[in-house]
Amino acid sequence: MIADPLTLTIVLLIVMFAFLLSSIWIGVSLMLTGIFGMLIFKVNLPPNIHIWDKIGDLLSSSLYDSLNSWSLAALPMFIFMGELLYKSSISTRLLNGLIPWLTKVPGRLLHVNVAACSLFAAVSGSSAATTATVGKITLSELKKRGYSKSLAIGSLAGSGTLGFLIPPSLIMIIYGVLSNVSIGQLFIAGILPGILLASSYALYIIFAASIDKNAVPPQAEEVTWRMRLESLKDLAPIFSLIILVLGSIYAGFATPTEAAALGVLGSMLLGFYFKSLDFEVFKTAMLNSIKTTVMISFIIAGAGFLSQVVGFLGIARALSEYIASLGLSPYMLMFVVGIMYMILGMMLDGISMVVMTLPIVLPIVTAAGYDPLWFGIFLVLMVELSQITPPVGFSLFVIQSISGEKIDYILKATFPFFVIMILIVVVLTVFPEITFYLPSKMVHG
Amino acid sequence: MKFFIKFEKGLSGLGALLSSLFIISLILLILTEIFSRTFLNKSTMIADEYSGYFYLASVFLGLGYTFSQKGHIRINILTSRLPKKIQNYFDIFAGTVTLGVISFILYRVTLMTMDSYNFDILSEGVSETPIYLTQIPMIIGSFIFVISLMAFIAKRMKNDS
Repeated sequence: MIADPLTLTIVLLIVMFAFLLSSIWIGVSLMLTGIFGMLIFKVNLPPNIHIWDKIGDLLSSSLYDSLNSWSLAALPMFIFMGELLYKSSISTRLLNGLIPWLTKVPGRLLHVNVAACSLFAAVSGSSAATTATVGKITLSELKKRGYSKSLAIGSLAGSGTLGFLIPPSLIMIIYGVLSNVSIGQLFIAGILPGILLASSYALYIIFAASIDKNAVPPQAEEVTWRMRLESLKDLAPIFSLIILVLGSIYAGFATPTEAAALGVLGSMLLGFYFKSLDFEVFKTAMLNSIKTTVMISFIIAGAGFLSQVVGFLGIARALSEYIASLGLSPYMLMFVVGIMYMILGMMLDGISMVVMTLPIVLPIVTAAGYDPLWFGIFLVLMVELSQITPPVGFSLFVIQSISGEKIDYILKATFPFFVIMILIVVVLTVFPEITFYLPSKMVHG
Repeated sequence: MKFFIKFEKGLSGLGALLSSLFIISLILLILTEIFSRTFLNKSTMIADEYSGYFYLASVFLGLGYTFSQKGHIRINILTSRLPKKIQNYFDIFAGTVTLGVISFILYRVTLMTMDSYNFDILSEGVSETPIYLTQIPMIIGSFIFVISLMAFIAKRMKNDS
């Protein structure tokens, strides 16, 4: 039996990692850690209530409460929308539509990943989906045309992660629910940092292409203005989806959950229009969405229970007080938090990382004077970094399976983009106004 | 044994089907809400509340299917370096521990549902839906998950011999 919350925290951390590393499913590991915490802490219960009764009550009610949520109901719909678009011809259209616009920019088609991912991220909620949908077409096309393989892979890994930053975003929905921040505001707050990150990637590509003359094939593509105008036809579907989903949120017409349903409707209509949607496609897309939704939701449920336990045992308060007693400056605190997330991100996927740490980290950073809306964007960037850090990085796995390259090669190609992302995190920390500008202009949040 | 594996496959497939139906209903419900609000100037009044129930139901009913399709994630950076035979032991261990947790959940959500039924608990929204109805999918879903876990352990045990 342990009575001191700080000792208990350390014991629970060790126990949790023991469960996680012995390959127990993440959601279950979190539940087990919660149960273990209840058992070893000196809980004062009335004599007629058994400790297992208390655990059972807490477990069943937190499962019900954490998943009976109208905001989280947006998750399956955004995931389904992404699956429908993955099966559609939208990625080919994006490529064809963007090519005529890139031929005069230094670095030419090497920008296609950044441009296509930025646009696709505006209708997709996850980085893995963005990377997979864009990468399945662009990597082979760039290779065929003789562009630098390393820049193609690196820019795909870097800009694929925009899927989480540029709304809609699954991570933002989960963060909004857990932190009580308006999901609509989070979505809109992600747009400027997303554009900033994408432009920095583009600048780097221009720079890298000017140093390495072999990065771009010598023969330029011949493009007329007529082709550019015709390409708009290929870009029209994605722009109409973006207007439907983001426009309806920004104008205050729809909540994020409603925008998700509109997005599903829109992608189905596109699927019918392009004749890419039949029953078989619908069924596969639905089953894949169920798998992803359930996987994410089960982790949310496990973390929901664990955070109930953490609150019940007084760990969150004790830890916040301890951190406050260290007297760190706000920048120093954010530096420590950033390093912690980078280490966690090597082992955990982004969603687990957010739901596991938030009950403890959020009170600490808000006490230091950071706005929860700003911290949401910071956290999304941390999740994006975790997507491309080994040994567990989902975007890396996706690129590995598309390109067939060795993981070492992919890592080396990704590294410059990783550094750019860290620089953007620093910029957003020093100039938080970038995050707040658009949300302050919303119709209503 | 063969029968049981087949039974698990059918059952988790059924769960996936029900889960799909709930997601489709969720989408239709919200679209109905948007269109009726925009064109008829009238809210359904229940869209917020029922979308939570539908989402909850679709997650629980899909637990077994997702598990048998290897959809739930876990960290195997350490265990994947071990010999196949030891990995098999780790799987049996992880499966058994998980079976314990999910069986406990099955038992406790059943108790919770029975309480909601016995005390006639109604939702706080305008619909005044009996809460036990919204909790039944949790029982069915956890039950399917338990069967899927048993099938998983049985398959790993067989690998061992």
